[in-house]
Amino acid sequence: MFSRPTLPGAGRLRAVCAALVAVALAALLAACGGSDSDSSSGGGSAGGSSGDTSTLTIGVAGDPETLDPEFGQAQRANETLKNIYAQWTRYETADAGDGDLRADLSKPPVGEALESYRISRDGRTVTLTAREGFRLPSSGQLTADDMLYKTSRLLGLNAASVFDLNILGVTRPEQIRKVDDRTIELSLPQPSPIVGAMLRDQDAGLVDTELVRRNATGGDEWARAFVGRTGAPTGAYLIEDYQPGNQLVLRANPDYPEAPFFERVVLKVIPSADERAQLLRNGTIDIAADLTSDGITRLADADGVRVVSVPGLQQTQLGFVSDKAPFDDARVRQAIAAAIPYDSLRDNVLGGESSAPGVWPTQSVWYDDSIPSPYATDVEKARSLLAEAGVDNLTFDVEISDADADAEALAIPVQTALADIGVTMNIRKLNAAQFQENLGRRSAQAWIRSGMGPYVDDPYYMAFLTWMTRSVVNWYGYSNPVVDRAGAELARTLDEGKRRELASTIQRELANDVPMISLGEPNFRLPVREDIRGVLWEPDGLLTYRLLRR
Amino acid sequence: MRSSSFWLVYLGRRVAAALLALFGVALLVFVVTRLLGDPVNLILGARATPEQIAALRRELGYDKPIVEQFLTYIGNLLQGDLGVSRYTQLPVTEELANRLPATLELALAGLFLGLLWTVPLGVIAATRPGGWVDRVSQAIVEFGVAIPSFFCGLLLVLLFTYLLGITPPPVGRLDIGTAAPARVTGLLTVDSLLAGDLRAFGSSLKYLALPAITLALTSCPPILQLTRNTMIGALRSNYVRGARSFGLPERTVRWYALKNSLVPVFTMTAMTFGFLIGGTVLVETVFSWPGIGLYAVQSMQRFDYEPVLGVVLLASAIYILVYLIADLVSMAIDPRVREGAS
Amino acid sequence: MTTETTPRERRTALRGLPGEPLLEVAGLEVATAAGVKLLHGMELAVPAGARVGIVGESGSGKSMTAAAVLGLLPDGVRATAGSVRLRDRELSGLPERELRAIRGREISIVYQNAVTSLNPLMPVGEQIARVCRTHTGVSKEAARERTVELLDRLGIADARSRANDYPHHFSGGMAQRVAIAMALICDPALLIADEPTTGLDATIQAQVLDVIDGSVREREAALLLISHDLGVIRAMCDHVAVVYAGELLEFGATEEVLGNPLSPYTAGLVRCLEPADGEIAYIPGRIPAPGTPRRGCVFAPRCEQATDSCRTRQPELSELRPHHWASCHHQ
Repeated sequence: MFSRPTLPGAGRLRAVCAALVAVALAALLAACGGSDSDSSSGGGSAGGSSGDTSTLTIGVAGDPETLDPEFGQAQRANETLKNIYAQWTRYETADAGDGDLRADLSKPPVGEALESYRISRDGRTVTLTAREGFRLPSSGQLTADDMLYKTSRLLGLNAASVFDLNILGVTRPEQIRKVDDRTIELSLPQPSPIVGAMLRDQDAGLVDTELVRRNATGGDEWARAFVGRTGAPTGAYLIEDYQPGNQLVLRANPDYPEAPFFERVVLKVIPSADERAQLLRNGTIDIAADLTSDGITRLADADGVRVVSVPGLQQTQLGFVSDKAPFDDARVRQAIAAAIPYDSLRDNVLGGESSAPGVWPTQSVWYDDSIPSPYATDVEKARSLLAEAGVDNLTFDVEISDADADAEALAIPVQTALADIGVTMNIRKLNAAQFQENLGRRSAQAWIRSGMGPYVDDPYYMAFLTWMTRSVVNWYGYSNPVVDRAGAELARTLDEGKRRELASTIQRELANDVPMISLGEPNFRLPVREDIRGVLWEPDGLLTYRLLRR
Repeated sequence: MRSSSFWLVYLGRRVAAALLALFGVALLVFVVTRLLGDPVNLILGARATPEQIAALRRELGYDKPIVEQFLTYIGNLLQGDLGVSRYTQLPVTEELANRLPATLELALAGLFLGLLWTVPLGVIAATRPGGWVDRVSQAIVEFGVAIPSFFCGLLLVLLFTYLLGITPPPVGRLDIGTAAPARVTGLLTVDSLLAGDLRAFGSSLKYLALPAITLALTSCPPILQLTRNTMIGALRSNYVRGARSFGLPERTVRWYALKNSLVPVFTMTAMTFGFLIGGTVLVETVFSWPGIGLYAVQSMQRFDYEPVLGVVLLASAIYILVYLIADLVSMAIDPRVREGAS
Repeated sequence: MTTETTPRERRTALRGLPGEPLLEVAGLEVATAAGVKLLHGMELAVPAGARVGIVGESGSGKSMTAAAVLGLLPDGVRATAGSVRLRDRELSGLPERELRAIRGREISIVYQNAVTSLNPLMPVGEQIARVCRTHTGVSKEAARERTVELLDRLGIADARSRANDYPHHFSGGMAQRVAIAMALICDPALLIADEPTTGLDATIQAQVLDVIDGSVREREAALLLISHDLGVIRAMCDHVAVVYAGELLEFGATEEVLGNPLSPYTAGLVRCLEPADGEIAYIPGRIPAPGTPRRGCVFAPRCEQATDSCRTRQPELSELRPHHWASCHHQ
């Protein structure tokens, strides 16, 4: 631009320009040189982590909101917690074909950190014994004190996760007693059939007692701040590096009884779903998490990508708020149920990867397939039920969350189908917080929500959580004395045959009352690179990194 | 030149105005976020009992009137406390400190590249308005202004990563296998040089390249326009005619014109930088760049208000600060501005 | 300006003036890129050490002539014919680099409203010194000394410290002195002053003219003074050129031209600008817009004495009286 720097001002400018250009050139050269000499981690289709056999890279939408097992709520945190905190118990696994696994729900869970858990003959005393040789990172052998510390922390913090103990009837520290160095006892007010299952919840994971204690402060006796941001892992993986918003790097725990295949697991935050799908296609990441049904379906035919698809327990539900008009009349609910084209929803919206819907998850070992399903498309029946109920020109609002893409995708064909029987369904899209608040207040008329299903496959758990009049997830305003009685009885019934009868009783009532419509039971689906095997499906839908291999 | 008391008064006035503006921003964002819904249900999850919900609402103060909530917030703010993220349980100041460097590095790199192409092109275009340099640069400007930044980012990724394989995939700031250098400034390029880690430096540059180019292309065209237009005006001015008629060399004449164009260009640059601090959200999303924009958006999606407020206040404060610096630099360049300040 | 290479050996019609010829403009034509002519064969002569005034209405081509002399025509305007000679040197067609060496060194200019023609971001002393160093290559210190000395001589009190001030610190009259200093710092042979006092108070005007007068005299430099104030011309100039619509209509000694004008236009101008008591005079009509087709005498459409021959035949510029040139059929 300026030819000769004879004048001071022009000379300065020229010098600055030259310096800028030099720096830019140097940067470019360095960048190119870097990519040449560094092909193992470079870009493009040849790059990525696929070349590194001991590292597993998972593309996730965001950070886990917490590393404290007592505060996990969202799926991302729950999965992380499940993999970094040792569970007391775990399900045994069964072959799901194609090298993948599924939880064997037909057997009671077995110990993981526990050597054993024993239930007394009267069902009211549970004895938990730590596994010999199971070590915590800071203190070595897992002791009774460690187990007591965990349960006290759960009760002391009284966060939502205390549900795990409350559902067993354990609400006070006095109900937990140290027996010897490796053994504690829980005293239950009544027998519970789900002790083993509750002890495997990711919320219940054991923490590294010494580490947590060291970081407790006067105002924070359970070191909530420390555990929330740093974690106190005890599980198959420990935390190597955590950069919120960027990545969480896990490293295999050398003390863990079974060494995992992958030495490191990188949870890379890639906010854009399309980007995650693209990076899976080109092999930069091994697993693309947090995709919508639609996004997964579009990956099904991609080269080098395998979509694991295992029938699960999750339903997408159209829930009715049945303690007020118009859905306080069972015939109206039945009419809607008869008007919905289930096959079409499965094939056109859920990518064919869905079980036929039932009032109870059909993959549950407690599902009774002898009970006729109310979810059969019969438009004539729908019309006559409406006529019988004396309802004309029915119009109602259905609420969905703007964060729930599957709900939205299902709502639109449902709306069309209902229009055919003269029912107008208005879709109200709310932000997630508002949607959740309305669910709790039961202020909507109806709602559609995906991911409705139990983490524990047990009829008492289901009834207690959902179908009893005072259940916390009874967003239906559903109240049926028969179900309430059956639920109460399930809580204290240990006999398997009797429990099965009670479970069927509840299902029969639900089939008749139709408090909700299951629009489908989408399979648990996960897109992975084709060389990834060992994907384990469990009822909570959370991945177990320990079993994955290449 | 001026007494120190003059500068104290001047700075005091500016700081007071800035605080007032920040108060307004805080009030606005506070009210808007509080109107969006109650986060308590989301924080506790589906299994929470009504008692737990009520307890948390009390704990967080959401049961209080909104005016009281705001006053509490401002009170804490005055003590440097931006609150705690309801989602991660971490102090917002700490999270911002973690993420701001990523945004700063991206914004600075984007602005640096932006200035590198806009100012020289603007100057050259101004010497021959309507010439080919002018026409080409106008075309780039129109492209950069018309195309949304995230789309430009995606195009660049498609071209340079997926088709040509030159740049790494958009997965953040470093190769997955590369350890971050010891944190000094938080700017990975700087920290890796300080640590003498050339591998990390190369890696961070590769990852920085595309998002920075995206910002340089989409956010900086106004700088080119302004440089060109003020430069054209300056080249037609009386003092340039004057300088020419005394036989001063053309480069001196252009330097006179450039120097006179610098004040508005510098102000525009500062504005662009301020905009980049809060406005890189879309680019951060495309490139998985863990900065404050992405943090704000993710927090907003989780109904986590304190981080949103924190980011907005921080971005506003930086904007105001940068503007103040721009004014001070303008004063240094132009004696008329300096004297106008009193 | 232009890089036209054909030499223009045409000499001006204004020959035979006393003194050594310094600046000669002959047949100078200037046109826009669209071909609209702004100067139509302009003629001008400034002998060494002489003081020549240029008068004419706005738009008559006074400033355009000055710009063409300096080779600083506006963007898109270029000289298409004619000659500009400085002593024995043809300036028209000279490369920019050589013209630059002449500007500020041999020919300098002072514009109207000096404040805007100085760089607002640089102390004035530095600007003046820079001109000095550009042309003479003296040391920074020497240039500065000369600057301060000149400013002082031009009547700027406390020149040493005022040299550090910026243009906007100066009043109109003082700024004009600064501009004059910048023009004179290299002792040019010709100073062009383009309406140097327009917009100034009457007393300030007189002072500024005094400064110009004194310093030109001191340096034995020639002065080309553009003005529409005949009083200023009478006071300052020994010769005057009357221009109209891009042409020279009359040229000669100031008293002669203004006292016994040959051209009706000059006579009208004198009547308008120096009306007798109680008279309000004006020349009817207006100056033709650039690009208007020309036939005959350019002033004929506004001339009360115009005849058919005036309207059809263009008069030649000729020396109708000794050292008094005009282009008019009526003499």
